[in-house]
Amino acid sequence: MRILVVGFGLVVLVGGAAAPAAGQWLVTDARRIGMGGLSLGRSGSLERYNPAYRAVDARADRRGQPKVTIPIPLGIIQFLHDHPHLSSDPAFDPKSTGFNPILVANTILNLPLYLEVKKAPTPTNDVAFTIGRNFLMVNLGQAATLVPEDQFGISGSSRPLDPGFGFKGFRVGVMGWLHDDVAFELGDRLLGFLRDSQPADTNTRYNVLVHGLVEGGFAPTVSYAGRIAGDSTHGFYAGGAVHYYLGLGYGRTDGDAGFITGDTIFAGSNPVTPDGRTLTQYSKPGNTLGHGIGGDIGVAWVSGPVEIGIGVNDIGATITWPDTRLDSAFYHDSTYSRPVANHVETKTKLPVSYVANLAYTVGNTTLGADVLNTGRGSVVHVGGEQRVGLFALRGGVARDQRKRIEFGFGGGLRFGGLGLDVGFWTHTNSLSNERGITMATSLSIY
Amino acid sequence: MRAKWLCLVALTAAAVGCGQGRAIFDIDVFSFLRAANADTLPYVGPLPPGVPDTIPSQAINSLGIGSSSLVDTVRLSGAVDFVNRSGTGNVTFQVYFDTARSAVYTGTPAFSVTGAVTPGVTTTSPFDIPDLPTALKPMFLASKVYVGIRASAGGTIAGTAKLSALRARIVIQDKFF
Repeated sequence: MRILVVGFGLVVLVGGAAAPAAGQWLVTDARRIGMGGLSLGRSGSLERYNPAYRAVDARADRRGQPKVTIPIPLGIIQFLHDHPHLSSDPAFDPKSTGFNPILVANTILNLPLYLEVKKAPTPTNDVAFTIGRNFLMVNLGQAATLVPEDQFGISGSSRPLDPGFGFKGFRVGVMGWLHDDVAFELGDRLLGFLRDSQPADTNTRYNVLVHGLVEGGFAPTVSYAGRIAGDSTHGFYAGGAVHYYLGLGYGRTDGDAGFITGDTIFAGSNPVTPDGRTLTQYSKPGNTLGHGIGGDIGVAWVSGPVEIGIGVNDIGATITWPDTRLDSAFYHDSTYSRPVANHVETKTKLPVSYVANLAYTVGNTTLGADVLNTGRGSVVHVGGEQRVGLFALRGGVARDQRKRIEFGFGGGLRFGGLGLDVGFWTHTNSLSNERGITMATSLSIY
Repeated sequence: MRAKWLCLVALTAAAVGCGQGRAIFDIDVFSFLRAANADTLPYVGPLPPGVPDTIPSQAINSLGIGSSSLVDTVRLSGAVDFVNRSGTGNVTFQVYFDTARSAVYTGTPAFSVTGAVTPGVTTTSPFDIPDLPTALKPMFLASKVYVGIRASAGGTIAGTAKLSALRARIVIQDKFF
């Protein structure tokens, strides 16, 4: 019971907070944070998602782009100060009466790399449950607005390794790839029960739609990036890559889990019946490799103070898995599992990711904007930097995948080849609609 | 099984929303007793040998959220009607709670209500217990709580004690799991 509660509760928490984590704030560069997460030049997401940027000159001296950024995780010091005996801290010990899953969830979702200048307050309204033999109603108060009306989840498409070698713009390599996607969606009845404080009905099914997918492998890749026209100050760059995806393994499950109430809410020998069904598909490592072809394209245009780029990844990347097993499972009073098919062909599709960016530099001022979509909503960053002698001032605004607006601001100090940057950003989590402020610090080597 | 599924949903919602707030459970205990016809208890005094002055203990679904939570307050309110047939005296109505059926009547009552009765008259005695003794509070965290009722007659009287309402308002601190 307790495990179920913690597990399901944390899934909700993770889901609610996943969007900004996946799409925006996994950034350790205080400069980017100070500009609201904006990527400039070859920093951040641009080179990852736009193959043309491999050929674009970083122009470190013009944009103040460092060669190396080293984060200074002051937040860890703060965290260890607050929790000096972590192994015996009751708040982190599930067996303790002081165990606080909210704190644990927040620690995981907001890794304490940064210094919390202002903590995001959590809702303090009371939650009321009215229970009778044939009555159940939940009133979450203001917190009900946190119950997601639409699908929520975590999704990511990453390329953890990309070794290779190149010559005159061409590059041959082997790229690792990993795609995960977890999604939940509350059924209308359960949504009404939790969000709208509708009393539970008898003989009614309450359900959650569940989807999970993880797949990974490697992809021999041939790519090209180069300047098609112009020179380093006025140039048009193009890049492209063709991947032959080889899938080592994948697993996917699509389910509908819930329960059906009985004739009376809290009475009878069997007042509620768990009810669920899933279709699971998987191709284990060792089976015949999955395969598919896809590609990336990107262009970048640099003309004096203006820089524009567009990149699209994993175009047409459909993976065919020739040796897949399909199992169905039902639960209604007891578990029934039945193999559906084995050694059959199935297909999965990698999400198409895209990035578009614009930067404008005049004198010591740089302004920019970018849009990044990795398959689960767009993240928008708009920001800028003003350099004044040794100092730099930065500011920016971001809209995360939950369409929440966050703000960034900060500054930097540069001594020759070494710089110290400080960035502040506002953030919200799944437990609150109010913003907290975090401070990031990093050292830059130019 | 019984309440667990609903506790799961409720606690999930609470995990999302409660933060540092409180969770308040308002349980209509009377609805469980009435359904089991355990809301009525005859009384007679002096009590003849072999005649029980209690009801068989009844199970009610409680929170089922484990012992790591902290119960702040358990408030009980309701009313009992003493329908007196004969005699003049006092009737003491006692309510017991325990997580073990066999131990319901072995401890001290959670609370008592006393009504002065006269022949042919129904006496209504409302009660409002702001907070139960601390020792009794944790038992409401269990998934099932057994409730018992005892009606003790003082004097030569006979009648029926009828519970007309009994609600438990349980306030839980933010230590859900």
